[in-house]
Amino acid sequence: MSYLLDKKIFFSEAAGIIRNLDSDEMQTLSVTAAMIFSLLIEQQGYTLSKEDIAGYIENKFNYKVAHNTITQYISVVRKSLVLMGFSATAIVTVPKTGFYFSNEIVAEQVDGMSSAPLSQSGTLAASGQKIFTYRHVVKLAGLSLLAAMAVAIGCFQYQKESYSLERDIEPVNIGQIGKCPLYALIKESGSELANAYIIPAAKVAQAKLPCIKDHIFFFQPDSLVAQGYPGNAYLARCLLSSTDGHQQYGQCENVYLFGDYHS
Amino acid sequence: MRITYFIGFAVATVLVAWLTAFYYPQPVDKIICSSTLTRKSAYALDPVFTVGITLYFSAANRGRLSIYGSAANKSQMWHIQRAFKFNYTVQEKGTIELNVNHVWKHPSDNTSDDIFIRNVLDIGDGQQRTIMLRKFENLYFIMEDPSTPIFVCSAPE
Repeated sequence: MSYLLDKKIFFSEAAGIIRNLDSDEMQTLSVTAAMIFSLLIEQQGYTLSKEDIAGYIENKFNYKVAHNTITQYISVVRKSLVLMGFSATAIVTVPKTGFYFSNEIVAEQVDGMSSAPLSQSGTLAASGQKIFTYRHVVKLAGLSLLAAMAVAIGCFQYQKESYSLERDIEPVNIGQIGKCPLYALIKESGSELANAYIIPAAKVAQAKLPCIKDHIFFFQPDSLVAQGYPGNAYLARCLLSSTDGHQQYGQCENVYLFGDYHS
Repeated sequence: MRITYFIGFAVATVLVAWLTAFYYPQPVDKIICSSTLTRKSAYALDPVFTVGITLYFSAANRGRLSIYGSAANKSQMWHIQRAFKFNYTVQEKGTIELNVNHVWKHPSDNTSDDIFIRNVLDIGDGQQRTIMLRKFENLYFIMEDPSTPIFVCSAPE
């Protein structure tokens, strides 16, 4: 006999197992304990004495059970039920009389459903409740593989991005030197552009890199120059050409000079 | 039991992804650019150096920096013609660590390393340098830090 208890616990007398269908955890019972538990469920609500239980087993299976060990078998079954997350009071002790299986438990007989067919079908026909089987393992493996591929592609893209050599920069147009546009790489906040950037840039340009047609300047002073002290100033001049509306730079010349640009 | 399977699959997923994406370093696109650089240091007796620069990053985490140029004062003339070979690693996007592993000098290169480092570029054999690389159109800005450019060079498109 096999039973489904409260649609949560599957018990198979033949296989001697108690299985929690939610967690798929399982406990194994001895043959005698499984027989006793099956009898109690079959006689649900009726109190069976130790003699009744021993007599039933002896008559049906021609197997003798000592009366004093029946309590131990029932204790084992209770522990197994508790381990499967089921109530220990499913089997009620009536002092000096015997035991009965609680009427509060919904016990559905699912004959013919041993552990093996359950594993193959993946479904309890009587309840329609699914349990975890190898099919689920295969599905999960497939899904995991897909997930792994998706994560790998994502990681690869991230890695490709993080392994890029350069980051973009957006120079800021701060004015002109002659007819050449002047760009700063980073503008100091709160600085007066003319004093901090344009005047030093114009001085470097006049000394080393005068404005030439179709050229553009990039300028960056160090913090000393930006604050009016002698220091290093960087100026680059590049040719800016445009073909088919697409801008292209070339022929860059860099000047890096130390000097006093505010005197 | 079921939760164990899920945890197992999750761990396997992450491992597969990590091995797939990170185990083998992925090459980056190669970059080649060139420009000229004129520098005058704060040291008054040093001449003004003007050099041509070609910077090359290969896709195999190796690169080369070629420099040629000259400088002169009333009593002396310096010639520079050398190439720095380096390996590089991308620490993060736009930040690169260079490890110079070989310096080739033309026999006519008569500039001492001290003068070169002081007047041209602070780079030498066996030296490790971290630079920042910023891109604007087809220009590459080689920066010491976010506010200190070293030079800008243009790449052919």
